[in-house]
Amino acid sequence: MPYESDQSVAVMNAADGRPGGHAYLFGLGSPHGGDRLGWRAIEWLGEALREHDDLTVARLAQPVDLFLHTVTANDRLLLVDAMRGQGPPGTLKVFAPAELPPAAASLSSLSSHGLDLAGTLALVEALGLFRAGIRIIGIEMPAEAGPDTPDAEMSAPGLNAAQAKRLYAAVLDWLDAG
Amino acid sequence: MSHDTRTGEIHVPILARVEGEGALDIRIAAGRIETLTLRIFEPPRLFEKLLEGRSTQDVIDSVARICGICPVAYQMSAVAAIESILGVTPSPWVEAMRRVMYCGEWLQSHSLHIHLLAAPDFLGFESAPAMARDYPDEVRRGLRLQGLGNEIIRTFGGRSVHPVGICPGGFFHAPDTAAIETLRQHLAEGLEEARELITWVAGLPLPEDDQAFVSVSLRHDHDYPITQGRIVSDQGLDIAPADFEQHFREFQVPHSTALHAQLDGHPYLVGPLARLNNNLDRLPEALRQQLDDLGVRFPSRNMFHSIVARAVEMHVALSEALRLTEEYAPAAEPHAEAPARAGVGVGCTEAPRGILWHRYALDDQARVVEARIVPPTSQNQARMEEDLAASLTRFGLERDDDALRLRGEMVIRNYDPCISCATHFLDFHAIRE
Repeated sequence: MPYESDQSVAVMNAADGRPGGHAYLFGLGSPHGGDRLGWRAIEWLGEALREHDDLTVARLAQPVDLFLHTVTANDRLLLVDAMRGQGPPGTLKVFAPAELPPAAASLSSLSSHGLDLAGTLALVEALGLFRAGIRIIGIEMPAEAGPDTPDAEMSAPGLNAAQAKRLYAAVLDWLDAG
Repeated sequence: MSHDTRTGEIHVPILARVEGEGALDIRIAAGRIETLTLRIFEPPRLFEKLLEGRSTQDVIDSVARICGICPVAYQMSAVAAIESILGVTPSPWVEAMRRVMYCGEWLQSHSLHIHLLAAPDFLGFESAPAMARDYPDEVRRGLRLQGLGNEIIRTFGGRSVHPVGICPGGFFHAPDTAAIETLRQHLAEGLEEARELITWVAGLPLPEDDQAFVSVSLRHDHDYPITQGRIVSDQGLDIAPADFEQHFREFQVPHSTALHAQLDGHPYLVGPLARLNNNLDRLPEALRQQLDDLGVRFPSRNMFHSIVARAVEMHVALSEALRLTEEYAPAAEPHAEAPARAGVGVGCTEAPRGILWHRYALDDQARVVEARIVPPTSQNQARMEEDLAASLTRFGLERDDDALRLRGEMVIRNYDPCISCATHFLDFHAIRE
């Protein structure tokens, strides 16, 4: 499994020439605060899924960065992102693009300030990519997590053992479903 | 109804694909535009006041939050002003790597504007996803180039949104050689795509709409201007950034929460078209030749050539980033020491949308006593109104409201305005008497 721990796009050519669909597991986030949950989860999942073939795992600072990978119509996409307001901290929810909460699914933020998740998924659909399926796993952030939440309050991957087990199981289910 | 006698008002309530909250109101009387106002009603953000009392590092990290797409520009203008006060001269390595980081911002901002905001206008699509169905290869190319810009910013700033790598005197951290080598491989792969992009953009069905306007930009001794230079115009202005306030005046108008600006009493243009108009001779010969071959002439009076200028600047950004990292070695000391000192200083750099001028007064603890920030969109507001009046009149005021609204939106989007820095939605309302 190509694991892109430093966000480089070194794996982008790894997809070239493969005969069938490829699975992409991307964590959305940033290095700081509650938003880092997606990155920390993906770092942990990358290690846990090291033996899986035909899977690319990477951190993305912005959803639009997924286009740096040579993604195709045959591929599958699983995004892991922090979320708010969907339950107690650590709550996991799996969404299809059409099931995203209104705030995340709104195209109103398609603006000159970047391309958000909804805008990126609209482009993915228009380009005919990831027709083998797209899912988004949301992980509820700690209640007080903000941009300056110290590392100590964000234990890796920000989940307790039971929650981490559920995340791992959800990702395995997705992989097996391919 | 004859256009000679047409009277009424047009109100545009929603302009998509620009950043911020604004509206366009036009009153037409007897077939002429009687009044035209680009109303900006987004609440004032008061950033200058929020900076008072803050340390120099706080300023650099805070001003990045003014804009999600040009945080590097805000940081670079701020740090230039601060270093001039503290008496810090950045090392050649720092100057070169700051230019590389800034190239990343030009790449991502320009690519996003070309592919997701402006090109749908010229090709007759209502949105980028709609355009992507017919132009998938072009859109994917644009998204890759945008991603390269993000990658550059992340390399130097830790993250591509609101980066955190810049400090007085330099950077907190020098990227290692392996990271730059990987980056360079990706940039090299993008260079030919940037050339293809110029050809594609030059072939778009751009309206012919020549106008008289004053181009204002930075100008550097030998480089295409990005991080430093004198402020020049195509009408003979040539001043140091410190003299900005002697020639440029910001003022409030009743219909806008963002200040308007004039140069010696007249509207002026900043941004990619103005930069290229003033700095054609700073382009590499191969790029000038490509423009000649494509039949696009600069300096240009056609505002819609802004999109071509953006594509050209994307190539400049990629080339510069490659040139400046060619024999890269991480600096042993990525920043110089910056002792606290009181004083007043200015910084002016070329944000993707045009010159961004900062002025700070610091106390003897190097805390902000006073701050002033003049963003490009504020400077372009008066020019946008002037352009709208000319463009819509030439387009034909006899056309129906929808056609006028769409044309007005296209004219405004062409400036890639950021009303949140100084629009996202625009109201358009026409009253015909």
